Amino acid sequence: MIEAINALLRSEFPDERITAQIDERNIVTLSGECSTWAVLIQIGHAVAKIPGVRNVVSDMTAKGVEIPKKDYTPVVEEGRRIGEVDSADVVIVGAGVSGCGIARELARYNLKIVVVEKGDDVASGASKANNGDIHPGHAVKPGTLKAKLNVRGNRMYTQWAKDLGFELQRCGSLKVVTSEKLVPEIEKMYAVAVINGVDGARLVRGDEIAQIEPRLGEEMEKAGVKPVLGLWLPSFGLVEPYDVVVALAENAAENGVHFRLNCTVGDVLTENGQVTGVVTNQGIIRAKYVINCAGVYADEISEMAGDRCYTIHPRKGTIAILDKSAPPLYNALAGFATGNEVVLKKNVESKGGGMCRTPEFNILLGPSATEVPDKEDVETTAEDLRYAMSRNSNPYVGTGDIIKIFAGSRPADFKEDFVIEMSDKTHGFINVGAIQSPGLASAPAVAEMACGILLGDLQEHDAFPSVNMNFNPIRKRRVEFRHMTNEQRDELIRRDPRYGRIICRCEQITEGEILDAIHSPIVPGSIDAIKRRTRAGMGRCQGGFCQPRVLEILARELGKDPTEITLKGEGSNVLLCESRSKVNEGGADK
Amino acid sequence: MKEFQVDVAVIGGGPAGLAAALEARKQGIEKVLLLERDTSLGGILQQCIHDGFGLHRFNARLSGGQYAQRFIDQLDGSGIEVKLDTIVIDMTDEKVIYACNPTDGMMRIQCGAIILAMGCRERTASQVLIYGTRPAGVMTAGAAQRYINMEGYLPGKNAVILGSGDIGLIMARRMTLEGIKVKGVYEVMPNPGGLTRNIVQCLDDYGIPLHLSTTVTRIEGKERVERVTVAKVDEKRNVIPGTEEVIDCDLLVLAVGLIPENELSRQAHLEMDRKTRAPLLDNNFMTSCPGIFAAGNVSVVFDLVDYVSLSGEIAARGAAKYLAGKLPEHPQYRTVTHSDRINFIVPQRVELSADEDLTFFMRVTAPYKNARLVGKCGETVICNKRHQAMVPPEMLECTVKVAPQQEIYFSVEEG
Amino acid sequence: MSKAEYTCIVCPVSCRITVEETADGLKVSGNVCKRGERHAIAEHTEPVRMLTTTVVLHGANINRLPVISTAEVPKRLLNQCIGELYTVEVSAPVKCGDVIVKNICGTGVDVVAARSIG
Repeated sequence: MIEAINALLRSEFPDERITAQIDERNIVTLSGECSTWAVLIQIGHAVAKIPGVRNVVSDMTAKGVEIPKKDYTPVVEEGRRIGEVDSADVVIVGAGVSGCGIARELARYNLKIVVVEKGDDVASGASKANNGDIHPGHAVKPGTLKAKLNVRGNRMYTQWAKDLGFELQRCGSLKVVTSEKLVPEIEKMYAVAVINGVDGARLVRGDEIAQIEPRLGEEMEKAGVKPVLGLWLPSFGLVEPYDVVVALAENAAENGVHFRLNCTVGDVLTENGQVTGVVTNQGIIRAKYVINCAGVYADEISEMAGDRCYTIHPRKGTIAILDKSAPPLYNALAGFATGNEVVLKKNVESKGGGMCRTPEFNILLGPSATEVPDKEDVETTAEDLRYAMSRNSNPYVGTGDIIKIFAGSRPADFKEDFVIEMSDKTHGFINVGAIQSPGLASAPAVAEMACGILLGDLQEHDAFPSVNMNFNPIRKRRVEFRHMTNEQRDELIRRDPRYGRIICRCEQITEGEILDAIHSPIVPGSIDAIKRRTRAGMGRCQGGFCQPRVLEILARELGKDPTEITLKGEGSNVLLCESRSKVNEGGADK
Repeated sequence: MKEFQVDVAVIGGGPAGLAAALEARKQGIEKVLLLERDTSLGGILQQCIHDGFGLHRFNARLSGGQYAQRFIDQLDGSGIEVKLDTIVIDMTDEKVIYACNPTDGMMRIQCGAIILAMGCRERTASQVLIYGTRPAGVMTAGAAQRYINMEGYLPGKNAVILGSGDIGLIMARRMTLEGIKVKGVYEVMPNPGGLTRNIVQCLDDYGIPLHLSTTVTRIEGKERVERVTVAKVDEKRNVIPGTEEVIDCDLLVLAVGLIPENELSRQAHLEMDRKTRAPLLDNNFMTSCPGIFAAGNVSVVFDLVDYVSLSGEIAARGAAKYLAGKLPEHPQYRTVTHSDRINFIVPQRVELSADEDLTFFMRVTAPYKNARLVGKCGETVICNKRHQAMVPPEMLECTVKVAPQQEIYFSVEEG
Repeated sequence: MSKAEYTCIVCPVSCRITVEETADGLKVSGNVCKRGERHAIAEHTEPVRMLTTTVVLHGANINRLPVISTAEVPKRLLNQCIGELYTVEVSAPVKCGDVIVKNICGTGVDVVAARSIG
């Protein structure tokens, strides 16, 4: 196989000096300097596509590009200084949708589970910065793990939403073409949907299109075009992604899972090829199993466990959210293509997202897809925003309606598929890595699969755990004042007057709802954590009005000084000091 | 759910709402209800501790709180019912208000007339397209003002201010006096957005530089702001490559404009004006829905609080006429037109039977020296006022008698 | 002889006014009106400013009380006045107009509460 790799490198990339090595597991390690970052990514992808290559590890560099490498020494030193603080059956690294989903699934058994998360809150990585689409599974390559888990995960969301009390809107997706020459594209998509087993996928024509989404007919008429063929995917759904993660985490916590926030893993401990624990900045946690759900850092955690078997190359996505006063035209994810659309330069592996809406009816554009060397790079740029805005097909809205631009990073590997497996180097270490799009839609199936691997291993060792008889799958949906009738609101305020005080006027979020969020199983310590749980600060003024009030409530309820309250975790304090205090030297005397 | 009936409900207890409620009572309206979402009256004036309020109305240079207090003091014994800590959630074109507070719960208030006086809100970093990271230490001038002036906390040590509107200038001085180093005020436009007096007394007095045709393009810093990039822009506000400069700071204060608060107006399907981003108004400051009026910064963003109060009084007098049945049931309108040199005029239209003196507020598009504001009604000149200078930040007020059967046209003429 | 330039603030024209110290007294140029001349001379000889800031407030739902001078004070004394005010602490209730500091820094001007609290 190494010959095939070298042949490819010589023929496709003759000017690049890259050397390849392959191990007994068919994991290829590439090294050398590439001319650009884009070429580095291309090489990784090309090699990963060679039949038989299990995955690609990159030691490659790119000319003039600094690839920041995280230094875990201080974390390890701190952890070793503190010493052993906890021991568990399972330590899950990362509290995103994968980690929290797995934790909640494993809580059905009598296992001691600890989730460690380096951020100040759950859902602080890719799980919070995506478009919330529950994809049907028509856009993934047949035969991949992604394809299997996407379709199954999508199906499982109905139960998740019901049990966990988060909003899931199965609005469906309707793609229509108005020109004969585009018919093959729709047919191709339909074929993939059929092969992948997407629920309810079907081709639609004429009147049926208008029945599904009447407004689409009107808009086509305005544009002077007629529908030729459409693909209807009724299983397409929408969620607020952080809602899902918070619900999973809360339910897991209620069922005995222990969460450690602001807890960074610096090393994975092993003995004789068996995982024994993790070293974190909060001390050493002993564990029989470690499940790696560390998102963009998953490759580094895997390396710590002595199993360097893939490389994550972060792919940044920028999203624009528009004001609710510029509402989406359609309930479904719907649109029509005339064939005259501007063709965008597409990223080979991920074209990025399009236009959709949030469950609260904000238009959402993007995410873009930009390969970046730095895992921490979630800066928005003009170019990425241009991409996001180019996805706008609603003629009535534009840049002036933007209320928020943000970016997240997809944890992509070079295979561009999920890596969910027990390490064959370190027993007890389970990788749940490279969970990029459609990771959110696949999450229930990812959780199921990861649990299956762990339970299967326990069974193999005659240690299958007993079932947790106290497991309660239900997590009650929180009060949402904004969605109530006036009579319901009145009753609610009578029960607790604090629901009668609106703190966030854009989204109509009450003090009572903020208090509910603060006094919940996973205590949100920052203003953004409150925002994700309640929507306070998510509206058009972006916290300009409510941030001081939320800060005050947080300080009061957590018994902290206002200067201790952060925007999004350690170091992001909103207020530096009290004015007139000694810290504030100088005053008027310049 | 509690049900109430009032003659006039005023939504918002800031300067516009206070003036409107008091004037409504003076006009003999029986049941006036003033709804305020904060726990005290005065609105944003309470965090505006600087002086300069009330020059026209009281011939004094009051601070925001003092100005508000003059109105609040008149409430005692006025018979106006005030509900604090109360927010209006919904409003219908049938003049029904749904509001709530912790003690009354939900309320359904059937109103004879409604005066909208909710003020305005600040534009944010995403709205002006500043790219980069999203750390702590980026906030609107209003939020910084509240933290510093009311809560007594400092949100940073080294500040950059984007926007030279009056709030940005005022905050430059306030922060300096509290020991925050203000590194500069940056303005994307070629002219300052605020009044000269504030440039002199808030920036020049303290040696704070003002950079025109310059904007902030990028924010850096993971947890807190560490630095920002500023760059010069051309006439089309495009960044000029090569002019970028990096400034170390831990606070970026945004004073990038105000937008009338009109969530409720949209709920009641009021016709909006794209220019003012506010309801389309007639000479009584009545909206497209008969009986619903707008006052203060809901109707257009004013420069002086004196005008805010004045507009509240005009709206209240309009509401009184409406309740007394003195306004036509099916109003017919003459649209007020203007030359390119005028950016907008509020009110935008005049009811054809109007025969009293009418007040118009307008802003010019660009600075003009030695120019005249000319108003014509048909061929009759109704206004011909010479100004040594007209600048966009300063609103022009013009009270004239018009004959709305004829065309009403305002222009700015040289000489 | 010294020469200084001031931006006039009496009207929107915003004249750049030059004040020159000559043997015959102050020479003012660049102004278009008499008010501008008076303003420039005042700015040159003894500029004055209103004093507005806050003092520490106890026993209320806000931590700072806005205060204002009853008249303008010399600009050169502003920092000294502010420095003095930054040592002042008051407790609610306070009435708008209550004197917080009498005759601040010997200017003959009082500093009063700018809003009522409690």
